[in-house]
Amino acid sequence: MASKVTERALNLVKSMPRVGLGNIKDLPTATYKKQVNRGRRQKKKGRGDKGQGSRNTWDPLGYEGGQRPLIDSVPSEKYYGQYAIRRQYPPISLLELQRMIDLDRVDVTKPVDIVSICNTGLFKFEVAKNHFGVNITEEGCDVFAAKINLEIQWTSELVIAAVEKSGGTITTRYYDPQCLAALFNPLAHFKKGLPIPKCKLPPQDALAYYSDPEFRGYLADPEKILLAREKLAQKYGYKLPDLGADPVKDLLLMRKDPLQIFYGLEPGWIVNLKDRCILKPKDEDYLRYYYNVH
Amino acid sequence: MAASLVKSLSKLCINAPKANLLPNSPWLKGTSSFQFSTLRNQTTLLKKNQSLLPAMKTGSALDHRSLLHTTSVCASTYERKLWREPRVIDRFYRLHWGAWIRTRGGRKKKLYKKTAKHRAYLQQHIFCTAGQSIKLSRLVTEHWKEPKYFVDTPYDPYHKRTNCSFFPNYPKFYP
Repeated sequence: MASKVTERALNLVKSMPRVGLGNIKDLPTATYKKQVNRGRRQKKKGRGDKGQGSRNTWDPLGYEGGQRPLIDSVPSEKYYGQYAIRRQYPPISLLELQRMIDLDRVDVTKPVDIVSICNTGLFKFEVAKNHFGVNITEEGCDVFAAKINLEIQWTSELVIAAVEKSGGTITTRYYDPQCLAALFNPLAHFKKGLPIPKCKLPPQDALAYYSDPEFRGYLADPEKILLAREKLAQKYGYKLPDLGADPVKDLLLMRKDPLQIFYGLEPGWIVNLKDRCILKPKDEDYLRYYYNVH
Repeated sequence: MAASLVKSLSKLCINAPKANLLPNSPWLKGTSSFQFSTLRNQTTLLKKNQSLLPAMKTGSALDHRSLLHTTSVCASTYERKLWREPRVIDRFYRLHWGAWIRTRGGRKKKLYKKTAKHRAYLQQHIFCTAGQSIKLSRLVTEHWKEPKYFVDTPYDPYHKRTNCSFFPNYPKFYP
């Protein structure tokens, strides 16, 4: 005894017209030749009647009918000097960061770096567009109140003061484009099966910034950073919280090696997601490459 | 006071097996007595792996001379530059909200015969009119209308409109 569904299906098939050449669709792999347009109908090739459109006598860009165009009369100024080389740092405000922390998008019990910010899905950057990391802006410096170990690529003095006033620590850190691609999407990088890259030193014009204790550069002298913390607290008039007595001081003082890009992982290692293991190099040459700056 | 602070903080830094810079780096020179040990008390990546390769040379791979000098990158390949109308890009600058700015003519010419007030006036960067801005936007491709996040330029504060009820800055909403 057939069920209602099968009965209905059979009735449908019975009522349909016979299959023939007229009611069959071609396979998806079928190719069609381009329709060649010949004859009286294609006299103008889709260009219309007369005029610049059909005769290809367009005016040059910026032409203003013969009068001196705007783009010729204004003096030049190198606004976009070296635009293809200059580094860019897409911004995120302190307010946004605070909001992400409040909504549990960012885990403050672990060090927060660009990986954590990208993993929220709310911040994206593109290495191909010369984006070299995240720039924390000053909006929300009055309301920021999170004890955080922050590692970013560019910031200003006021932001550093706001973070340190709340009891946190902040470092500015350079990553080269290859490392940034791995940091933006670590999962995709591990799936490729490539070893974790070692981070290169910053280029010459960035070296000054990342060696500066005023900006908490990762290459700066730690002693000078401590002095700079005190000076900044005096400048902005807040009491510098005591790092020594802090219960989470271990977290706040966690730092990556200048060659290292992921916490807990070293350059040269391969993370095997399928077999859930890590492969470490043993060869002399590999170790010499991955554990030295050059 | 600073020394005692540094000394107390030296015990705080994690003695994790995470690698660190080699201790004989130039920017640690002259601070051999400091205790802040993120850089000092921990084994370097290189030293850590010495046990694996006893035969390996473990001298400082960081040449002092070349340490604080990284190669100067001066690349500007053809592929990285996108199409542009040079007469627009050389003279005008687009703010993120659609306005274009330009300089005044004569700001470098015959300054000896211009008053200070006139010179200051000519130094200004001024907005183009709405019609001019629309025309300039049509003369460039979409790439030039994407925001460029350069830092430390004098134009940084002007990429957002403030005090304008017609174009308010709504704060970002995170659900």
